[in-house]
Amino acid sequence: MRPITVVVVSTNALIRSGIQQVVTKSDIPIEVAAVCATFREAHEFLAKQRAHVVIIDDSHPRSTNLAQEVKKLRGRQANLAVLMIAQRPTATLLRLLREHGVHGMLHKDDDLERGLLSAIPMIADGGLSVSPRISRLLDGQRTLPDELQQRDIDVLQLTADGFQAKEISSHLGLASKTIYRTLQMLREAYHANSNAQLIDIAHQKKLLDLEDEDDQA
Amino acid sequence: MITQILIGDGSSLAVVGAETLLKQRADTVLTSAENGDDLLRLAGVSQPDVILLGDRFDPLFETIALVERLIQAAPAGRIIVMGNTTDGLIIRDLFTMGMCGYLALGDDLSTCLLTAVDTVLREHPYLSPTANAEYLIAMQSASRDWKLDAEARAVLRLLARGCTVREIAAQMRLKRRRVYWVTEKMRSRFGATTNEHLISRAAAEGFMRLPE
Repeated sequence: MRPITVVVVSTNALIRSGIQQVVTKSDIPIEVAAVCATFREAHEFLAKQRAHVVIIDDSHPRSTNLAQEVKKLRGRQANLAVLMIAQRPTATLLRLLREHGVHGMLHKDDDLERGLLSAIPMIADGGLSVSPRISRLLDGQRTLPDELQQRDIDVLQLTADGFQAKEISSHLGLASKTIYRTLQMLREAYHANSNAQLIDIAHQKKLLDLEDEDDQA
Repeated sequence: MITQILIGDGSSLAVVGAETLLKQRADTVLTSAENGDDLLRLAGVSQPDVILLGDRFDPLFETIALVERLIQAAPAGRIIVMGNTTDGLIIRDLFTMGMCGYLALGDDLSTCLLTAVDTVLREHPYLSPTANAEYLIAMQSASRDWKLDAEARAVLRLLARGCTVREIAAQMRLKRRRVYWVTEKMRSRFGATTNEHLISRAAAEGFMRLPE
């Protein structure tokens, strides 16, 4: 049986080493063909050699447009399967990644050792593998206040996490104007004079704790 | 002589990665903790030589508070923190509390980790290249002795009420430059990249609901 060849992309050396260790010690024939700290290294490798699966740990700089990077990687090899370990998962980003052909998605808080070993063979074989946590986010199984859409919450969350509008735009694959407009609409809805006040109000109204509450439920 | 290393990190893959690298050391026993409580318990029971702690290991524990409690639980343990914070003032605060080493996650930890462990075991402090540069910059800056005082808390409250820098300066009878300076120091203190992030972090730490 031919081994599944895997390329690992993560800026964190410990995560790279961890993924390598987990997949090579498994009973499944998986071969780590390359371990890359940047997307550039992954592109360079895939320009020369083929692989079945790319595992992306989303620990890249905030301005990284993940969807574009996935598109470029898959542009090199049409049947390349992509497995994403989402560090800052938002429903908007996850839907975008799914549209760009990401076959496997794991949440940073999943049991990643087990998750990786079950997802890699499945997506290498052309299937899909999405962890329950990610499914919950994708399906939007959470109760939002009437005036808010899921995208508004995602923009609020990323703003509270220190992302600037342009970084949110890259991260979510949306136009900068859309982000500015969303923030303006939210400021008007909550009578906030600034984005800083908006975030304070969002904390008071517990708009940013929805994911945690869902996790506890 | 056997070296006991206790690992606490929120990412199971990072724990496996650290264990893989540390297994290269001779006579090293590795243990990993599930959460903050488990880490404190294991530190108390096994009295490790080195504790490797990932920043934001457990959402229920603030890193600085966890370091403080680890020092109480295992006074002889050398604590190395691994984190995204490359703010020299935070690193300074952690050193003051008794942390022995700091590894910035953006640095190549596959080469730094073993050196860090060996260095702290020789009772020397260790900083990875990025952390070292940030620490030196912070030590040379005029803000190194800055504290979150009444003025800063007032600026924080006004920011959260939607006031602009001009309005804050007028209300507090300060120069605008002073307001910018205080805001910047608070961003450093809370490890925030923007004012929105600052408000969010301050709210998470309970600073926004303080009485005036």
